[in-house]
Parts: sequence; structure tokens; C-alpha cells
Amino acid sequence: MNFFDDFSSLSNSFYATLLLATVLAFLGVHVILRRVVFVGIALSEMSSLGIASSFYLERFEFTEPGRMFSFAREHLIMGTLLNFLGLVFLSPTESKRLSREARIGICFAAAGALAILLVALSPRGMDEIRALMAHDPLFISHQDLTVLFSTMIPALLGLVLFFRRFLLVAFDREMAISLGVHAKNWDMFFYLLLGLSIAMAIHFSGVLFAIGFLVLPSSAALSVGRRPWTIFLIASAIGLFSAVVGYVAGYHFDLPLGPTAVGIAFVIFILTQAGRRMSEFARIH
Amino acid sequence: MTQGSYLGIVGPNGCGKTTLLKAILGILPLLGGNLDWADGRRPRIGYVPQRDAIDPIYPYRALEVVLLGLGTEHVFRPSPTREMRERAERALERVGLANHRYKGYSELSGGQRQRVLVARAIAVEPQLFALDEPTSGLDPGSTERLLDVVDEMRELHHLTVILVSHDLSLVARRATHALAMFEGKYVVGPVETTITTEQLSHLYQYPLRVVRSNGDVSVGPHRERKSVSGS
Repeated sequence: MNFFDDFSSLSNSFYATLLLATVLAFLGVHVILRRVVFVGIALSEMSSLGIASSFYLERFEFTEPGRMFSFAREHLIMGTLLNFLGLVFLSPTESKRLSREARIGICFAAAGALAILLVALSPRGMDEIRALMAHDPLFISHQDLTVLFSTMIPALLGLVLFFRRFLLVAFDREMAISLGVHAKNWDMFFYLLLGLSIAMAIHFSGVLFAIGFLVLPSSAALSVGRRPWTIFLIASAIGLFSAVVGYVAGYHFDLPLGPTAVGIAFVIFILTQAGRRMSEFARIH
Repeated sequence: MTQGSYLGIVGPNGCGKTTLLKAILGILPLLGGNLDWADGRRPRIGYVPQRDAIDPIYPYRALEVVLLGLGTEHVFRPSPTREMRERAERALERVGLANHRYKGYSELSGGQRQRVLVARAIAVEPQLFALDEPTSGLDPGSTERLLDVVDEMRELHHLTVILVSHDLSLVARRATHALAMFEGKYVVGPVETTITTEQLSHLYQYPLRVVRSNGDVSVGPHRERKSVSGS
């Protein structure tokens, strides 16, 4: 299989992968710095639950095309809806009785269990559903690509334009408020972007790709970058590079594309760790 | 509070000093009462939080931490302008950290981090300086140097200062007014009439003694000296 010969048929999924990888890597720096990686993981479970719900609801007449609740059969809509529901449950408020960590755990366990049950009860075959829920980003239609670009490009723009504001609110929330910044609104905006990006990534590329690209490029960039802007740039570059190499290599060697790209990102992460250790060793000796 | 006054908020752990300060700053909602600003407008506030409230995982250098407080009125927060950089550098110079401006915030000592936070509050060019336990965990020299900077700023720019502290002696020495809180009770007024042996002993329900001599004030436990007889 030659990637370049087949590019015309692969271009949609290739561009989708690159865009998702870049957005997730950029977003991942915020996620790591805010120490909310587990929020991301719990949200991915909620997206999966949304997709599983859409499979389950196919058995009901009220979701048939043309009916009021026909949107319930749309995987992307249900994934995004459940993701936002998860965001409400995990919103960064501290309850004295139930810590945020506990809520993350509850969300993860409940959503995971319910997704499996709904899949088991759904009218479709298990293998078909599994393939859809953890699928490779290989078959993406032109319409899918349009939906993805029309949501993710504004999300990326928002992340770039407001990156200083997001950092300020996360770094020292109280100081930001004392200076008249509406920290709660900015937090809400950030979590909406996070939820939307994860929902899109889960739908088009699967859980592994979403979490892998949220965590690995940003962790690698934080190990080698010294200034905020450079860290965001390095993370995005690593995300983009891993996606391109993973996609081409995966296609060439007939490997699953998502895991291959995540594997490449992991190799880069290991190389950055080794490089950092070596430079520290050289500085000491 | 009148402009230029220096209010020290004191009291034991859990009495609500920090809660009160945060309510004044708008970080926490008011559960009762009103907050009236002199000319009806909220002043520009330079806030110095407890340094433990800042997560050192962020890859900021000292200068960048100071710059964070600048330009917040712009939603798009452009890259710092030359004027912003100069202001930030001047503020770092004022707290004695000009040579550390390119050092990582996480690499600084506790005292230096606290001074960076003070520099950040100075750079905002505040009308109200609010400090929450800025000297906790600092050695006496660092404590005095840091509070000297606050005094200097207050005199230079006629700032209003609110300082939350456990340290009664420190507040008695530096502040013009004091608010002493304990279990829902409070005493407020000029520091000479608030930080007194009678007031504090009554408030804390523990014998405390305020000693004023040669312009210095110290507050400590009042213990009767027992005469030692025999060999």
C-alpha cells in the first residue's frame, strides 16, 4: 500500500487527523498545567456513553428520521451532549461532602459501565459498535470533514487568541478576579472548548487517540520548553509530526492508524525525557 | 478606610481574616452587608496571595509572573508591550530581584517567590494594596525587607494597604489601623487603641501583653514572673 498513491481517497481522514492532533496537543498543555488530565479521561468516557446511547436509542420509534428526537441517533450530537453533561457534573467547584476527584471517579466508572450496558442492549452487533467506538480515522466523509473544520478551527483560534487569559485564570485565579477578570466565565469557556474537542476526537478518532494526543505531546513539550509560548508551539508541532508519521507509517505497514500515531507520540515523549536527563547530567558534571 | 491608611487584620487561625479579605476583593461573594468604594468605583487592586496558592508547575520566569498582572483589561491580552516590560522590570528592581528576572519562578526560594508576587502587585500600579499573610514562613530579615517595600510604596503613591497577618507585633508596628477578629467578635480602630493589652487579652481570652518602647511594639503572652527563693 502506498500512501502517496492513495492520497486522494485518504485526504479527508488525513486532514482530520492532523487538525485533531494539533488541537488536542495545544489543549493538552492547559490540561496538564491545570492538573485536570483525569477530567479529560472522564469526559472521554462520557463521550463514549453518548455514542453508546445513540446506538441503544436506535431501537425506539421516537428517534426515527423525521421525528422530534431523531438527533438521538447522531453519534456526534449525543457524544457532545453527554460530554457537556459531564462538564456540568465535573465543574470546578469544591463541595465539602464530595471532592472533585471523587466526582471524576464516579463519572468515569458510571459512564464506562453504562456505555458497555447500552452497547450490549443495542440492536446492532457488538463488533460493529466496537469498531465505530474505537475506530481509526480512516473513513471520514467530506461532510464529516466540514463539521470537524467548522468546529475545531474556531476552537483552535479561541485557544490561540485567549491562551494568555486561560493561563492567567488557571495560574492565579484569585489575582485575576481581584483585577476584574471574570474567572468563572473564562473557566467555563475553557471547559467548553475541552469538552467539544474531546467529543470530536472521540467520534472521529477514538478514545486512545484523544487521550494520547491530549497528554503525550504536551508532556513532551513541558519537558523541553522553557517559556509558555514555546511550550504550546512545541506541543502542537509534536502533535502534528506524530500524526503525520503515524498516519503514513500506519497506512504503509497496514497498522491501525490511531495507535500508531499515539505510539509515535510516545516515542517522542521518551526521547524528550532522555534528552532532558542528558542535558541535566551534562550541566551537573 | 480613608485613602493612604494601613489596615492590619489580625486574629487566630480560622477566625475569617482571609475570608474577609477575599470578600473585599470580590473573590468570595458577600454573605451580608455592603461594600462601598469611596467614589463609587472599585479601585485598582494589587493583590499578594499566600505564595503556596501559586502552583510552581507553570513554566514562568519571574518577569513573566509579574507581566501576568498587566494588560488584563484587554480581552485578547496581546504580547507584553515595551512599556509593560519596563514596568515589570522596575517592580522587580524595587523588591531587589532585578538579577533574578529570567530565573524560573519554581527555582526561586520561598522568600524570593513572595517578593515576585509583591512585584506583580506593584506593577499593577494599584490604589489598594492587599496582602494575605505575605510573611508567613519568611525569616525576620526577609519579613522586614518585604514590608519595607510595602511602606515605601504606600508613602510614595499614597496607597491604601490591607494586610492580613497572624503577627500582632508586626501589625502593631506597621499599620495605622487594626481589625482584630475572634469567634465572631471584632475590635477595629487606630492601632494604638486596638492593639492594647486589655483589648487583645479580652479578644483572645488569653493573657497577652503589648509593650511599646522607643517607637517599637511587641506583643506576646503575659506571664507572671514567679520569684525564685532558696539557694
